[in-house]
Amino acid sequence: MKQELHALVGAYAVDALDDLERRRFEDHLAECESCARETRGLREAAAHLGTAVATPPPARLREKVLADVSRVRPLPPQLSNGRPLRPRGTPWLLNLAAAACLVVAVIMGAVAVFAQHRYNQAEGRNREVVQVLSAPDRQVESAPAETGGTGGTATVVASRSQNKAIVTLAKVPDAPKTRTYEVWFMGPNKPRPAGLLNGSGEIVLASDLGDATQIGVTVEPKGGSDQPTTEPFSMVALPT
Amino acid sequence: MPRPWQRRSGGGGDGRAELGALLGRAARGDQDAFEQVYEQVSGPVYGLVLRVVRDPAQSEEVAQEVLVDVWRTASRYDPERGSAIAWVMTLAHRRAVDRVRSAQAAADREERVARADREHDEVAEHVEARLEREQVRRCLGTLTDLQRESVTLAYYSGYTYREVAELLHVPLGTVKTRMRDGLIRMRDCLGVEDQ
Repeated sequence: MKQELHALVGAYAVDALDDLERRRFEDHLAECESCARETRGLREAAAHLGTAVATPPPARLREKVLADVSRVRPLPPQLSNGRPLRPRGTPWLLNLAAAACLVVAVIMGAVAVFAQHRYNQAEGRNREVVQVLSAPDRQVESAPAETGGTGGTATVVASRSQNKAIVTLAKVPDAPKTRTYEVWFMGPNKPRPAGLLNGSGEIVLASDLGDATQIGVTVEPKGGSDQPTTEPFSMVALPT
Repeated sequence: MPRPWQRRSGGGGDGRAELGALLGRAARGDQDAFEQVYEQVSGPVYGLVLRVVRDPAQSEEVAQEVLVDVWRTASRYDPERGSAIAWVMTLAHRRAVDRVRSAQAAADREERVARADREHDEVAEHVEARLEREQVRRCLGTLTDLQRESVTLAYYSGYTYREVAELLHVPLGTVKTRMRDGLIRMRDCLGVEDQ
């Protein structure tokens, strides 16, 4: 997998990857210093292809850009890997030790409660899945899931009487670490989030089909989004 | 002769400051510094976008977005990670490619390719770019046909490597390798510093 990703360094340097591959490659870059170095060299080379076709722009472009610039505030610098810096002078080690003791105590209590809760939840979810699968009006639909040519599919089992849909992906690569797949109810109104998946072999059990006519699946930043930020890579029809 | 955007010291013979330093000042909100950035990069940005997008009106729009983005995100330029001009050209190329890959543009792609060769030499001569252009042409000449086609179809026409494989009737793995090897050859021929 690593080797396979690394072979994409040239394609990455000339933006010849699709969105998903690009993100996977960027995740890989973050962990691989030699790949990052090679990427920089190839990007410099590619930039020469760009500067070699320099063409004077129309004069009005300058006016438009400068007018925009006077209205747009430059972004502040990105701090170390996007994490805010720790305030100076805080006796953070002491705080950390105290916090750690408290955390341990809280966790011990929470684990017991959580385990029971998870068990109940899993039980309840199994029951719901069985109800959808065995509903007399259940319908099964599949559609290609185009996430980089692996020939994946998305499958939806939906029942209007249960008002629920089960969504699974097959032969779709796992989402890169910083991303997730998000399932959406789509119809005449705004898409509604229906659940998150990390790859094949997981299911989303979504309630409240409402006026949705289709299930869409997109790639979103880890944790999901309120509204899709990328084009769905798969759309599956829902029963009417 | 060093190209203007590659000058290391602050202020060359013609009074131009080094691009990286200007970006640093622009990041702090210095609009005069940005005007100098504009002088240095607007030609390369517009030229590249025009080459990829083809339609002059759309290209102007995309170039405007890119140049405002350069201003807005100047603080994100990190000299440790490459030259300032490469950072700008990467922004420009990404935007141009996004534009041609959008659904609406997809329909025009066949035609773009048909026109690509024809318009190849119609790009207006630009004094500053001439040396660069000659060197790049010479270095492209050191690539094998397949390496050159793979690199230029991706870079100048905005195709994904899958589309390039399809167009050239070669396996995906071959295109990946040719793109990488071709760029490595370009890098070595151009004498790009290994950052």
